[in-house]
Amino acid sequence: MVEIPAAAAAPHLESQEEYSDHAVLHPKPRLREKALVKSQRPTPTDDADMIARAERAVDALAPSFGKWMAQSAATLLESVEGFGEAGPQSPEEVEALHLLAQDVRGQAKQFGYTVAAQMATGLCDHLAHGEVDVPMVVVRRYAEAIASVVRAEVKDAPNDIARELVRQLGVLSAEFRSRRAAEKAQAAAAEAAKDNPGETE
Amino acid sequence: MSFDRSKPVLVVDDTYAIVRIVRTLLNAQGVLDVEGAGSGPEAIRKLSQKEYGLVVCDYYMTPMSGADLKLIMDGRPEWAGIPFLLMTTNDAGAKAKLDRPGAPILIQKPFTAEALLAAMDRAVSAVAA
Repeated sequence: MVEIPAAAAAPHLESQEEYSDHAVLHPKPRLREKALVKSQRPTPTDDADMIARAERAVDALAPSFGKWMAQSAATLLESVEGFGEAGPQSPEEVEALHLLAQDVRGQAKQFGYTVAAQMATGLCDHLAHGEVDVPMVVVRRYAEAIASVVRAEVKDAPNDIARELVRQLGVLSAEFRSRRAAEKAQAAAAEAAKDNPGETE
Repeated sequence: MSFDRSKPVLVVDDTYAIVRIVRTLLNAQGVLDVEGAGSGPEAIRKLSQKEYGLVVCDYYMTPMSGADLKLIMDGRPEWAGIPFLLMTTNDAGAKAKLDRPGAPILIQKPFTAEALLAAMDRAVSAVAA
């Protein structure tokens, strides 16, 4: 009879102790080996598959994008309306409004609402420095325009009305900015004249 | 290089939709244990309770920004080694604040699954370096 070595007979065992009335089997510890297989970095091919799968999974969420965008735009508009004509009264309140505008901007970019993203970027610029640098009526125009294009599911620029809306908001912003700059320059000149009365005479 | 996939990922954003998107992207890439936090303080509470393999965080949040959360994490030895990825829009203000040595790895919205995967790898490499 051919004798088979213990290791070949039972490859899953690390050792085996034989006693007169029983045997103790010591299995090979394989838990670590199994765990390592699971945590190995995927290969580039796996990556490509995973990326494709991930893009498909996000595409499946696309029907919800409009709802999420509409909620964020509505929250922004509510907040703007809540501040009324007086607007935010402290840097903290301005920052709270700025964050809402940033949320809309971030989501709009991620979900492909290019027009809303452009508008939100313009609004963020007016709120980015701890004060609102235009009258609240302009801020409200931005918030209303964002809510409108989101509600109308306008995503890209080819929509003529949306493009015109973005242009008008830009003009409005530029107008108020130049007016504000002129006021500041005038105030600075008046201050200088007060400090050095002889120079202006 | 990949993060430790045996540990959960923490996605921090005050916008539910973005948490949902990132979670979906990660799930589809085989990262199944993904948790969300709606603010910096909530993230800190979660970090205190569990060990995470990666943190993906929005920049614009209240009461603390994503950059503030990263600073707090850097100050705690047990959190300083966790790869950290900061989501921003293309924003000059954020860029200016984050233009410093040791600043977190950024990913700009909008991002694709591929960009997220690459940025995650960069975040892990930044910790390993």
